[in-house]
Amino acid sequence: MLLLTTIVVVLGSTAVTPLSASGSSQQVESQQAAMADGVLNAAVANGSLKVAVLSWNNSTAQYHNVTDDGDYTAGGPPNEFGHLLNRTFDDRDIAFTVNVRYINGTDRPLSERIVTRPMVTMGRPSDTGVRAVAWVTLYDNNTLYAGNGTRTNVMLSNSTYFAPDIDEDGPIYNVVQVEVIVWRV
Amino acid sequence: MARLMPGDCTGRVSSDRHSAADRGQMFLVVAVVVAALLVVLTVVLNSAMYAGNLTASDDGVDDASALAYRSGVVEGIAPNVTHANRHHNSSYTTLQEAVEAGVDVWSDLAGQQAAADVSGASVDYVSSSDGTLIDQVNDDFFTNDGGSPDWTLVSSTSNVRGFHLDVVRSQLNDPDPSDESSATALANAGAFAVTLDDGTGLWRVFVYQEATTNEVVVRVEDPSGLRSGNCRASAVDGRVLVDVSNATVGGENCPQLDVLDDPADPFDVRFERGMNAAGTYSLVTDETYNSVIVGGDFSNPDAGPRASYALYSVEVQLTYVTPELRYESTVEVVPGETP
Repeated sequence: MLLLTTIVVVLGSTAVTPLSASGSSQQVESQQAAMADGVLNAAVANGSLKVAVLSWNNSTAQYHNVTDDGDYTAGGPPNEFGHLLNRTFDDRDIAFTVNVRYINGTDRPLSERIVTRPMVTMGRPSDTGVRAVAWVTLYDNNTLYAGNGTRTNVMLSNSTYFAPDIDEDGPIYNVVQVEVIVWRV
Repeated sequence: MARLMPGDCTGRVSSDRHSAADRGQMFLVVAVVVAALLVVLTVVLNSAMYAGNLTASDDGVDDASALAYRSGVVEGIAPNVTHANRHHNSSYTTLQEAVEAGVDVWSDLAGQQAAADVSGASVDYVSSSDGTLIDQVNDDFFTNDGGSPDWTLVSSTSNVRGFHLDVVRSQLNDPDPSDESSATALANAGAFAVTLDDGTGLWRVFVYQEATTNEVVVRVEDPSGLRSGNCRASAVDGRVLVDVSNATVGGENCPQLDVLDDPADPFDVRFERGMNAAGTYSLVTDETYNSVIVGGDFSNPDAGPRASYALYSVEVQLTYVTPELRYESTVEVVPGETP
């Protein structure tokens, strides 16, 4: 009787820990966060993140070959940064969102000062989505990039770029944050 | 008939009872022990899994964001230094003031960008390293101001960055293939060379052309002789960019061109046979302006080589504070170098 009771109690307690949803998904989330950080660090180091941010079609005033909503929905953008995102996440059934947060004017009230403009929208992030950020500083003499990755001679200060020049007396154009949110589908 | 002794009966019955009772007791004891062992085993397994879970889980401290800010500081401030070197270079004082103001602007803007995520993020100028920008911005031969083809750009420098030459293919020497077998042959044939000399060894970057294929060729010599293989690039609009700092020729990787870190400090940078090359070039050295212009090789601002005040690098201190984390770091910002 006692032995039977003990066995029942023991079986009941071992069932709790290893298969609990919070335990296993936490490791997955850490892994995804590390992957997102890795992608952004690599893109910053080889310059492809800045090129992606500047891959703006001056005549259509949108990113190159983008949907009517102004963002990419089938994966990363058609440039080296986009290829890196796709290679890292598509094969692993991980969806991602890429947003560009820019300063909309330093004299605006705080709630309107930072604007988030989506670059990639692949659905709505789940509750377990993880976020990584990287900084890109744009200068007045930076030029836009064409759809094939080559530099154009259109300077930021004289373009239809979505972010404004917030330092008109100085050489800085804007300081943006690129945020990547990843989640498992 | 055997006489039944009271003791006998009792003995036999009690031993039976004893053995039965003993067996029962032993069984009970063993059962309790097994039960206890199982419970202990469960507790141990549970704690092991819990500990494993704890170590694998995020501790909630966002150090990745702090490091991202640090990268942002370096990437954001480097162009400021380059801008100051070109537009505020009348003296080291104007350079430092311009960079200090630029750091303040960046710190303020980035702080606004980060305001939603952090308690505070800021960067402050600490110091800068005085250097010299040596360049030729209009196409001309690679001779010095007086027309001398063999001259020293900078002597006894420890660091050179941003060193690139944009050469006009048609003005380069075109040696016979037989002259490409050794450094001496190339030199005798007249090929232009950038020479690095640390007093014990020589590194030469030969730049010449192959007219029949419209290509610019780069061949490197180090103290053990000519490095195997050369780097070629087709001229575009008649020109090719030879980037010594990034080891590329015409935009393509040229591993043999990775030489700037090889000579021991300090070393000299010279041009040899500069009459056999033309175009523009640029480099920044950490030697100060007054020591660079001593040789009298520079002057006219529009033609020929010129030297100007420039900052080689800038040191800044960054602070990044969140409710869980305080990160402070001193960073050296060197334009053109990945940290």
